[in-house]
Amino acid sequence: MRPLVAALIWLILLGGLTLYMTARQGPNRAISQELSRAEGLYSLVLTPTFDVEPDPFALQTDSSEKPAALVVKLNGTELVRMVEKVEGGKTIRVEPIKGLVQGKNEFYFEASPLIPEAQRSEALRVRILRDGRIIEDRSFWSEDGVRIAETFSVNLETSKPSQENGHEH
Amino acid sequence: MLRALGSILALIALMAGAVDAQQSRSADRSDRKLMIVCSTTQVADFTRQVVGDRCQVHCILAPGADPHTYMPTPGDAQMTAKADLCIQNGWHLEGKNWMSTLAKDAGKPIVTCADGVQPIELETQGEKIRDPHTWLAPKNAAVYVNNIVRGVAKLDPANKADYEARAKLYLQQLRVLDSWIREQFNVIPPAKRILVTSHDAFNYFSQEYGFKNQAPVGWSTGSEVGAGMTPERFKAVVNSIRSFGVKAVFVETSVNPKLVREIAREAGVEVGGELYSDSMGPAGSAGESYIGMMRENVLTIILALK
Repeated sequence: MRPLVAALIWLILLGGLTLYMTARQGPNRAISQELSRAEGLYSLVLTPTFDVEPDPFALQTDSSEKPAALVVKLNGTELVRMVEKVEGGKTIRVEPIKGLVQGKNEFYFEASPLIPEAQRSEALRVRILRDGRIIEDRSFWSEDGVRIAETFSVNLETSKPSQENGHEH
Repeated sequence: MLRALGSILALIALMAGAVDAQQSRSADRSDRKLMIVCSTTQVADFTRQVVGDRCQVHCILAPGADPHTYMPTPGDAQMTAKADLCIQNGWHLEGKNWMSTLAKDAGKPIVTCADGVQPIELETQGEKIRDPHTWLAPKNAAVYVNNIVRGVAKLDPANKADYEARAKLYLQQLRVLDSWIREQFNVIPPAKRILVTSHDAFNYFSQEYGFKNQAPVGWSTGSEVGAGMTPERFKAVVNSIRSFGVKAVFVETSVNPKLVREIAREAGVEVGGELYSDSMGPAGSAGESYIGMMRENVLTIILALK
């Protein structure tokens, strides 16, 4: 009888402890959200007014990796990464834009002007087209040649796309 | 029954005690901050910017001390023996490689910050020497920061993201500093951009911002090849000052000012002020940080030369 009681108490104690530990760790569920893909053919057209060069002040976590001259991210995922110099006035076209969803989409742009040109204000023109029609056209300015690092959001509805914007310096 | 319950309770108490001791031991381990020993004040500042309060950062050189002529003490060896990582400038800035010798003797890993910088090679007495004063151009300071991030992240991978986030912010500050320096120097006509200092520390700075530089003492104030003052160099500097109509010459905070004062007298020009070169300033001074020392240097040069 006594060994049975001891075993029972042990079981209760260990079970309680296991339950407590599991509850404390919390459910490790991945937060998933069903997002519908935006309909239509979307294109991104970028035109810098300046020569874009790899940024000597970029964080390089790997010594063999080249610093980027131009980076575009969509909803946190890298869409464009150019490590070679891009001539000013030259147009960069991305078609189709993969990863656009219905609702809010956030773009992030990063471009570095040449250091000796750092005294001039420069701009990066960004156009977004849907089925060949411009739905967004804006320019991001860099004061005194400081690297352009900007975000803006585009709200894509099923019927009519509209926009809202944000600013980051 | 009571005896069984008693023995179980005693066992639980014992287990709880063991768990507690284990937890406090692991807490001690995680509380112990990693210790990083740096050779120069600039390297220590970059390291602090990257690691924040996560690691203990110690600097062997005191503010104003000359890395070329420094002789390590037994205390430095003891400190290095406790370090988890050593960080140096490299390229013989630390005279006779004293920092790498300390690290090697203590069996500690070492990061050389200057590695990866495009070097300016000085040819002297038939030998080619990589000028080690690379940090005086902010874009080279960015290379230092990246080398430090990689070294520290390798040592403490659990906090890699934190180090990278700090470094990214600091790199932006370096970019702004660089841009500001270019804007400030616009007020000095290119023909007047001549920088005469005690020793050859400003080659990278001059290359970056369009200065010609002259120094009576070579690349090192120590006794290495190509270092020190020669009568030829002295004469060449005085002649340059006269022929280019230089308004002022500068002393360095970490170098004896006697020689530059002598040159100023000989050439009939003013001493324009003190520049931070091989060392930052003491705590509480304008040059206590890298960005602060660069800002002060630029303002001192502009006030004297414009």
